Amino acid sequence: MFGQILINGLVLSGGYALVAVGLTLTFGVMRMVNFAEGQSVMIGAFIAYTTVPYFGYVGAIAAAMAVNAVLGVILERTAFRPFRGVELNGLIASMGMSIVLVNVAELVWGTTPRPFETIYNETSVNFGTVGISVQRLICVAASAAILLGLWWLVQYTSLGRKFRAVSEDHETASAMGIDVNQVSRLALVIGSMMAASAGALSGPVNMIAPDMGRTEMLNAFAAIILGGFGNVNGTILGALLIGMIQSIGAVYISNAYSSSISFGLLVLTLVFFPRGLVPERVDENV
Amino acid sequence: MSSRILLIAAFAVLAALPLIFGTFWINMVINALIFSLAVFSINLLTGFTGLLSFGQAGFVGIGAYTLGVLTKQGTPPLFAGLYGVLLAMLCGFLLGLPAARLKGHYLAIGTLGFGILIYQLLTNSVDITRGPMGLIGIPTGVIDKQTWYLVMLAVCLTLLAALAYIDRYSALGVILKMVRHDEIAAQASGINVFAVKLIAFTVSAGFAGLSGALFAAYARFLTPDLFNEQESFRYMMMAVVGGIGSPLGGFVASLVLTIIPEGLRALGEDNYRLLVYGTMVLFVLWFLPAGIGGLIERQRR
Amino acid sequence: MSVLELSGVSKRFGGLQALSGISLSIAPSEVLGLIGPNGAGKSTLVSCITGVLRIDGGVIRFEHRDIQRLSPHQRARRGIARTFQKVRLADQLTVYENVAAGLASRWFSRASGWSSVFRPLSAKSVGQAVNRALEQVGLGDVSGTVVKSLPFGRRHFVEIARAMVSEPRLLLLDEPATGLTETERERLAMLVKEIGASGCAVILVEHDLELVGYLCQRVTVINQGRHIFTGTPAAAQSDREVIRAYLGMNQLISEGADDARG
Repeated sequence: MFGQILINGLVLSGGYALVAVGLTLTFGVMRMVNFAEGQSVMIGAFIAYTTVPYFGYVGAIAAAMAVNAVLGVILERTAFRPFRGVELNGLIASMGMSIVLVNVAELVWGTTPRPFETIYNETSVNFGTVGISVQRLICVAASAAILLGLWWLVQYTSLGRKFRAVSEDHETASAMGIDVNQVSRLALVIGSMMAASAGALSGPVNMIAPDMGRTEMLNAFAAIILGGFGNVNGTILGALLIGMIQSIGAVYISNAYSSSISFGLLVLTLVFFPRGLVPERVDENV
Repeated sequence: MSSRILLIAAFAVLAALPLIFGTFWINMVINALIFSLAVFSINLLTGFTGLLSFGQAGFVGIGAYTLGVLTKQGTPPLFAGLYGVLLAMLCGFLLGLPAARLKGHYLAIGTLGFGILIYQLLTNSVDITRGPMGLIGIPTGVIDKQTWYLVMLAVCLTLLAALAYIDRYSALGVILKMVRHDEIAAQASGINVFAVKLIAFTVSAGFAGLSGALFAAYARFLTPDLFNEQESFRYMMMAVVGGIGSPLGGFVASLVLTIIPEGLRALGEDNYRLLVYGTMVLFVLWFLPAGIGGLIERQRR
Repeated sequence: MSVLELSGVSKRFGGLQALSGISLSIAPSEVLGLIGPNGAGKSTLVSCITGVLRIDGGVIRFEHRDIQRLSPHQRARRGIARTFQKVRLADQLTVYENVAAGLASRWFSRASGWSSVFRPLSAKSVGQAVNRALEQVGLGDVSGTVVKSLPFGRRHFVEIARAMVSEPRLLLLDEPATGLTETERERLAMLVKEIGASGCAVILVEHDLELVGYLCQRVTVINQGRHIFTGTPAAAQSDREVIRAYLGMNQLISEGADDARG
């Protein structure tokens, strides 16, 4: 039982973390929330699904990330860059893009949910008395690897420094010669790629359908509230917490209400911590 | 003055439409008019007072299900509707208590979370709401569509007039705008900013609840999916397309963004509904940043 | 009988003691200057008086009642009004509308006044009060102008009108002379004198020491969060502490005091 809860929690956490980190990166750099992120997950899942017969599973994941990289560029140009300074419109534009993407997916793949079969779904590994499907293990391992890679990127590379500089103050960063548009584009590209991996990895665990991705996105929001907007480390921890709580809740409370738990947690956090758990450094001048 | 005449003429034309068009179109316009009340709730909250709410569908759902459940238990529809609005307002008040202290993106996500909680509550309280199986056969009597149409038109016109008065002519409008633009200056002028925000949340939730109650009474069939976060997004999109501070713009946007996609369905082109919707939203945002309301304002001058 | 009384007021921000042991008092119709070098804590003190900041120690009494527990809007309704160093107006609204916002203090100070918010802005009761305030500050001619199109100097006066329309008994002016032309400065000086004469107490925070010397019967000097002197502007110029804290004050204050006597 414990093993199942742990693995389920990690699978969920991994998915949420991949999505949440993308969202938090985008927010940090552009100060806008990407409401099309859920659809990025969905597109990633479908591209992987479609290309598995040609490239195998690993290749399919790579293909999904490649397609989503292009998607990220498109999103940045259409839904975010035009709206710097009018952030609300940017949010709404991403909502508009999200429904366009759903329709596109419906046109290409139809509306019925379908199972995403991989060979790994069938096989299981036994840890003592617990049997865990290899697919889930891959999910967890791959999520961890990608997140580690991203964390390393943000902490130690010059691109990561640019992300952090633009997040702090994009006027100063721009004055220092950083191409803010390029950084924004990269943030969205990376975010979409991570969403793609989330979709490709967790797609086989459940079914895929054009209206998928919403739950991941919403839970990612909860993770960001806990971890702090723009804070990559905190967001990963937040996602871990949310995933584990959901997994535990599904067993001990009820499956139906398990997703209520993350939103309940989100709302409660904001009630007691109006500035979020990890307050951003914002000066209020009087 | 000529713009007022134009407005009245437009409404007169709208009122006469049922004589020309068939039931399908009238039904669609009625739905659009019902949605516009939810859009007005956003105009009031976000447009006038500057507060974000990404969970308005939750309040619409509360209004709708309260009317649905109570009328099925024998409460007269008018009272059930009233209770629905009041319950929605109570929830708006409860949301407002923590929400009035939140800023920007926290407020957006917080209200989103609240809306989702309400949706999940509606879905999971199967004993009361019948959950995903849907609440059928709400007994609000069979009122013919022409009457519904005229009633909705009257309701919309009244609310539009009230909101326009508040926004443009009344002292309350100035107070709301001060809260929106500069809270510190507002407080220094004796305005209790927290109270204003709380009241804005409450009244806005009331508008949304009214929209829900009317929907339940008209459609006589409810499922929780009608009140999920996608619907909240839809109201936000209509509000921004209409111009966030312009109820009249919101009214027009509600009509346009309901009629065109549904019209496509009538013409058999069902598969492109969302695509058309999303593209329209994007086009307005790209080329008309102040929305339809901004366009109307420019024509006015 | 004092309008405002501070004793032993202190405020800290984390490790920084912004104010310590500040005491002052001001009587009706008095114009009190609040001066000191940059960073002395003048704006912090103003924020403490208006309630935007909570004090950590000491007492603040307004008309003999302790107002420490009151929030900013409550203090505004009791009769404390202020202007801001960086002008805070709603740019898209007209001068008239911005000033009308100040009426909220009056309306909300009695429960019966709440329904007044539904009145149209053009109502006689609103119009009379707003126009009277606009005339007083000399903005009668731009009542319908949108603030965005108004030159910066005149915007200070819009803020003063907004403050005065609530008929306050204490007015805090935070560097109102910043960016004013010579003519506007003179207008400001006359206006502050009129306001004082009408019974309202004024605390004038200013760097323009000539203005301070001209308008203020007394000045309070603070430096690094501490009170270092209270007295006439003339006496301030010869106080050793003051001179040490604020070189150059000497000449300007005496010039201003000469003008006032002359």
